[in-house]
Amino acid sequence: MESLRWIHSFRIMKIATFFFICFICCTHAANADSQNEMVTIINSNTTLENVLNDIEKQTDFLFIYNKSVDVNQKVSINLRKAPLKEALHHLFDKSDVKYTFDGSYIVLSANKSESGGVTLAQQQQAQKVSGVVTDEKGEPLIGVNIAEKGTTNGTMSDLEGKFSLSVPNQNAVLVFSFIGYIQQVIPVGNQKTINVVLKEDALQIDEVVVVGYGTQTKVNLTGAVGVITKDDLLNRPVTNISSAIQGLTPGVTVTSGTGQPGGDGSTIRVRGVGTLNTANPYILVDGIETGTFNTIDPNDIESISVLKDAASAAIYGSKAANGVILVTTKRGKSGKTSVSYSNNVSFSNVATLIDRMSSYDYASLYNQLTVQNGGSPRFTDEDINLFKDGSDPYGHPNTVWTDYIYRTGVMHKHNLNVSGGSENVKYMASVGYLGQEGTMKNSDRQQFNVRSNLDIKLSDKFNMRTNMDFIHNKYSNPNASYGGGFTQFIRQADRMAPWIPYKKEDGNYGSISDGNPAAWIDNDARIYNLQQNFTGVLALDYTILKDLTFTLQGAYVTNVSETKDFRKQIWYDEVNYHGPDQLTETISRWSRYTLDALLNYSKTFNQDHGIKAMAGYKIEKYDYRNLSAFRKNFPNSSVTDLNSGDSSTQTNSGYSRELGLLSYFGRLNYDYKGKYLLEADFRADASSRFAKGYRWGYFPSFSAGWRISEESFMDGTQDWLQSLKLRGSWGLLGNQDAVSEYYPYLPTLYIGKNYPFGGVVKQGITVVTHKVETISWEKATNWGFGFDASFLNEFTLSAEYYNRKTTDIIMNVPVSDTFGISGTYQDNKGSLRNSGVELTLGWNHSFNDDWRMNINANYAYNKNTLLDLAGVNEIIDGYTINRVNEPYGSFYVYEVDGLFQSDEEAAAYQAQYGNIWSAPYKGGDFRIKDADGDGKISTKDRVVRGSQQPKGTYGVSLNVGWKNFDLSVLAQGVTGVNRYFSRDVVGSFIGDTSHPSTNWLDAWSPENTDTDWPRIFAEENSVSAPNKVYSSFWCMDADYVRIKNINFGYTLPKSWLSKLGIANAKIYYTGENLFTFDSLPFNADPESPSGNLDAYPISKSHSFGINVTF
Amino acid sequence: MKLKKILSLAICLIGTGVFTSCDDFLTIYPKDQLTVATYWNTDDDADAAVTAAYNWWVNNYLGSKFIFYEDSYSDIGFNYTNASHMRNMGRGSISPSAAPNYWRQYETIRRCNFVIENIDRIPASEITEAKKNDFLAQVRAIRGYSHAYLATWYGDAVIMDFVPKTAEDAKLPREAEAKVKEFAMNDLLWSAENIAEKPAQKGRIAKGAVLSMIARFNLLWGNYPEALDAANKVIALKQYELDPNFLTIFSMSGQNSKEIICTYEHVKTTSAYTDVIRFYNNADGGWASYTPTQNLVDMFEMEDGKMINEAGSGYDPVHPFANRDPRLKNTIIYPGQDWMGRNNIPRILNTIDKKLPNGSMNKDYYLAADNASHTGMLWAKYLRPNQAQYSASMNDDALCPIIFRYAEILLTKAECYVEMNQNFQEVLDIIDLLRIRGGHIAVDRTKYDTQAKVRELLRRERTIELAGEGFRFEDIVRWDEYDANGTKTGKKVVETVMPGNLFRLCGTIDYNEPNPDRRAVINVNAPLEDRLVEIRYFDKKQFHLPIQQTEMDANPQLVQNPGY
Repeated sequence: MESLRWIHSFRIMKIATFFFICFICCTHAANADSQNEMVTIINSNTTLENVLNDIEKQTDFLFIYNKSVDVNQKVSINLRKAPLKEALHHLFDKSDVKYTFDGSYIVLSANKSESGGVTLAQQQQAQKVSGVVTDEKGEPLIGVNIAEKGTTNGTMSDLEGKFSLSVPNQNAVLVFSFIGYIQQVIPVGNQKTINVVLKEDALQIDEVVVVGYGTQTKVNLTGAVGVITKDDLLNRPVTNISSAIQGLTPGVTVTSGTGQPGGDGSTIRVRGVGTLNTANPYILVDGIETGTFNTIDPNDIESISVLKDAASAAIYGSKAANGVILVTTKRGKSGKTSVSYSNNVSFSNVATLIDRMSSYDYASLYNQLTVQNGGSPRFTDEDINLFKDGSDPYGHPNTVWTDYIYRTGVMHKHNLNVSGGSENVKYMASVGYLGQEGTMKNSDRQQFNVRSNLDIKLSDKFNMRTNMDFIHNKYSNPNASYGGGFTQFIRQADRMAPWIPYKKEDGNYGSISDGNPAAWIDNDARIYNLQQNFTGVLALDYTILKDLTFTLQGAYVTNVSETKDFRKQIWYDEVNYHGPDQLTETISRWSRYTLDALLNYSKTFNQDHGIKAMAGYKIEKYDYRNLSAFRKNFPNSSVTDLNSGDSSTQTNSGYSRELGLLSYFGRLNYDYKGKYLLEADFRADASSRFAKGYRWGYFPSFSAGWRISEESFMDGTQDWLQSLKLRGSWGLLGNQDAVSEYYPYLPTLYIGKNYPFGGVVKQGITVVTHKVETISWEKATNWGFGFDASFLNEFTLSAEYYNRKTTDIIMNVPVSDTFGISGTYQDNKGSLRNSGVELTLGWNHSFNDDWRMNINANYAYNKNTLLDLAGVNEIIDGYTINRVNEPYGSFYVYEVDGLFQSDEEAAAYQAQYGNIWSAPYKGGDFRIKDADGDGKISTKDRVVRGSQQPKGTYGVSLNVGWKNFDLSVLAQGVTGVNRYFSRDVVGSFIGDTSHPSTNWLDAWSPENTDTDWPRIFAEENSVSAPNKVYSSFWCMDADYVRIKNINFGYTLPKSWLSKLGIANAKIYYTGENLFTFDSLPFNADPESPSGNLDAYPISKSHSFGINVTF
Repeated sequence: MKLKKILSLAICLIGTGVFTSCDDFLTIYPKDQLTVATYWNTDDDADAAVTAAYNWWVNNYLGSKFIFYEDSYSDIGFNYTNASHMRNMGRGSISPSAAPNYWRQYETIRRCNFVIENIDRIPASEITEAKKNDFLAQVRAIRGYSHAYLATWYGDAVIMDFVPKTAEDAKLPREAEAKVKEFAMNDLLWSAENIAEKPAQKGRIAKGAVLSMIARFNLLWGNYPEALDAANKVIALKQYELDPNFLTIFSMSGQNSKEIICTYEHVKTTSAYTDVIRFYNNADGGWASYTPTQNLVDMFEMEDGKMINEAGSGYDPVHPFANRDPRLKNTIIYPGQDWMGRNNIPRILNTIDKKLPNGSMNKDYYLAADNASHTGMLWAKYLRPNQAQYSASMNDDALCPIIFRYAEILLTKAECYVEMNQNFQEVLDIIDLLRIRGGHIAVDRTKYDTQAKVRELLRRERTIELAGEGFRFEDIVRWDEYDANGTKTGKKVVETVMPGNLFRLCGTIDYNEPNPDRRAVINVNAPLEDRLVEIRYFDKKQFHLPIQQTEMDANPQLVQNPGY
């Protein structure tokens, strides 16, 4: 610390004291050697002073200069491992500054004679040039380097993109350069004003990609990493990033979540489903595991990296088998404080609703069916007429139940971001607020989040980073009087007959056994949820040697989750009742403590051999606690705290869980002349989940790349092929999260199989689960190869093949009932393979100064094959099957071969093939195919038909710009996917508890035989019923293309804004999920997570927003 | 310097993690679960493990409500909602993927075996021999009951007499029905020898319950001497007697009746009976899930002991409830009866008029809603005297369904005598006990003087006495059918009584009629389609339940029952 201060004070000393100081210092400056000192300065636009500081840091030399040297002048220098002398030559050779070595000092002085040597003629011809530098969208580019070619004369554009520069004469040529943009060269001529539009460099040679425990330049990547930048996420009214990354990068399959406020996360699968268990990718925000996107405001994100193969993910070892997603948040940059504000207001409606019959149609068909079955019609002709003319809305209503539970949802989002900093301290702070009223009534959400990222340079050797992030997410959903949350509303609204009135004339509600969802909406009972998540990170970097850094990072993440499930009693009328009031309050919290220690080494030997090495150690502790309490019989529904419930009814429960994880890891990168790239990773993990002896897992990986375009024999292709890299990798990953249980190896006794004796409940203790002590890691062996190319200056193309075999899959091994434990037990029994290809194509083109466009398309094909299932050939679960050599979770159904066209035909078929369903075949029923050809219909006739995991996924984004206007469209789709739709989707003819869809209007009947829709039938009394016989008819192709997002924006002209002190402002419109194209016979969401469609439906939304930067 | 200190501290921390306490750090045990290795130390441990065997012991699939469902498999009951595939049973449309799964009983069996295999690990100082034997007898009773139940419903079944160490160990083939029955009986007989004479608390299985099991299953299996012996032993215990008030034993106030041998216990909130809502009719907020049928009504005699189709019976099909065996109104709630509904306002129960006299829609009309009784009637047992005895939500009640009661024992004894062709007088005496307790007159001894006639009477009386308690289906499956001459037809009763149309009564309520039994005015000419509740099928395969498809898939050793 002492010496540091000295250097600082030294620099401001006057030249007058120079000789004295010099004398003192010379004595201990013996080993400063200007020949061997190497410096790296990558600093295109900075002051001379900064560069001098940089050199001081990297060498043992100090600079001495007086006032005559303008250290504030802008310089541009870009050197990698260059000798010091070369650096000084670059800096000063063509300027008026002279430098001389003096021991460990470099003395700078102004060269008066030269600067005074400008001739009068030159001065007369000199002229001033000014202008504005903008990008293709018309936004100003700040800090563009503007240099007079062949001189050191230059300047930089300011915050508004403006510059002004004096050039000696009309022959001067200006060079405009900026990282990430294509350099432009413009002769001055007699122009006084030069406005320049810089085009983005699509090739992004210098792009840096965040990888595990570090960064890597894109050109040097040898693994498969998908990158999503903040620009891809901007201006969309999504509340959860998981939805926003859909369609953006190949191999990342996102299945839309739901429209539920606070519960709208999507399912993400990286390169297929690699396990029979949790297949969620490992998600980290700034290096800290979150496991979810729920705790991050999309506005805070700088970039997202998806590590898809073992080569890139192995550094995360046992948690990486399902892919790793790294989120990097924005950080401060030194310079002027920048304040930006964005908001967005959106209006959304349920995207998909099944068209259902009117009460008239339903009642008529219901009567018809009852009569067919030998009964008397339920409705008289008078009833039917009343349904038809609607004159008796209470007695003979046509209730559209969905109208009572859905509405137009409104959401508004705000985010304020302040960032900036000085040389030593950089900061970024942001606050966000989100208010949402969901598309289902009585569902809402308020989210508040604050983040601060701080970078502090403590000294030359020490750097410190802290991140603090807090998110408060409060949301509620409607609750039925007997619980179950919004699912009950959707289910009941889908199945209640339209002839049941919402309310009757006397004000009483209509109801079925399961109640009335509209009444619950009026009752306003809800499930209230509160999530609070705090993340605190403190990291220290210590530069031990020039090339060796030690980093220590500690993080604490804690999450509190509270659920208040209040069920309000309700009397639908004098007799129909659900209740009483009851409350279950659950509080759970988890905390994760992690400590990472890293050593990083990086050096280039002989200019050709680049070596980077990293070694790390990690220790992690996780604990979880849950407390739940219950009471019922509240004095009334307005007092909702636990205390007010009847204490004699109270019950409670609670438990805690813990996990420990210990890891060692390392990485080695080697490159030769930037042409040949090699990387090796290794990780060893030990988890408390497994028994001693089965705890450790070892996960190595290797990858290599060849930048063939850098070879001399490729010189001839330079004009059309800008770069080409071949790469390949092999590696092994683990999947610890395959087991949700914390102690999966430990045989335990369950406490709570109770029984009352003499009116008092006695605790019963027994074994209800089966444990296998040898349970251990799932392992995923990955290999793959691919290439990245850029050509014709405007195109990029990547393609790769991968093959991932997961072995020792922890399976829920099905047991026979005779085993006596309900369900399944877990063991490392399965294996499966995912293999596939991924393609990405980009095209970036500007037609002229006004028009610009780019297209990015990606496609991925994944083939999933089960290889082993605990030694059995197949495991059937309802309408799905896991069978060796077929994809995981395939549908297993009887094949439908058309409809019987008459009862006689049906009877003949039954006589020939038999009938195992106790529901005689009739005309209009499915003709079930004798698939195995054994002459009878049996359970062996089921066939595998598709699965819910798509084979192909693709996304296309198109951006078009004209002057200040931008239009972008994102389309996303899947191929090779099936869904099984169960009974409530199309309804059936049960009576009060079903609401058939309009599809049944085209049902087969002797009069309507030209249809593929089966006859109507009572309940499950036909082989055509989706819940009676699982058949291919109900297992539908669910391929779709969806216009995910349309965004239209306008950037306000600078001339308007500058008066208001605004640097930049943009307004935009965004439409989400506006169009979906599929082949389903009804309006269902092809992505719905439930075959019953009882998930909170996704929304179709229109939104408007503004982004302002001051 | 400060930073260096922090650094060295951190390195120490890492060092500690790595070198000294790695195993400690990674060896974590749950704090809410016991490990098997450290259990079995005291008699409390044994008691808790025995208690776990009681959890859902009567039926692992349906719990204690199974008794209400099982009659709707038969001609005397109907289930509308098809919850748990119950309706499929009645209408004959069960399949391996749509049938009740009683096979899940093995869960209970495992819990019994867990006690049997481990109880000896408790040190002798911690448990008395007597206590140990009583615990063993309790779980062997449950294990025996479970195997007996499985053999009854499935025929051949897997015998599980050990705790399987691995799932493979449990993939056993089905043993012959006789062998399963022998195994079950062996358990029950041992239990009867070793179990406590009287239950320590209500709900525990003691000698009376075990002997009742032996009696019931032997009767179901046609082992009459064994059934008779067990029934006699129950009687000899002198712990039980017929309750003078027939209906009270099925109400909340009658739960301590001396007629009750064994119930499945419930207490409010923490172990409640949750299905009372299925008892009551639509207008009272119930779901009327299981209801009696006209077939049962027709089995009751007239007041004077004549059958309705007998000459001179005075039976009037327009007033079918008038002048009947008084037990009818205590077994079935039929239209016209005075009824105290949900809101405690007395009304006349009307299930047959579409509209009420005041012009409003009648919610109890059999077609008014899914939740209206489709047969137009309700069971009286467990519903009477009123709805107020249960919670308003009808899902949180201390109702304890009766599994064994003394009347069954008496009827078992009587049936054994009939089938063994002896002691007909005693048979008729037993029947009289029940008839007179129910308010009816004694049997006309001159009419029932042959085995065939006594058998016919006994079967009718058994059905009437135990109606709504889940006996009928297994009875008609086992009962041989006899023709008018008293010779076997070669068919089982079920094959005749089940298939065909299930009818309800149509008509209107005469609100001016003071006699509740005459208020229902039946339209005997109502069209068939109005009277049809459902068309039922029966196939011989239904003598036994199918093994679930999932179970067939899970255990390749199993062979499906014929016909499925």
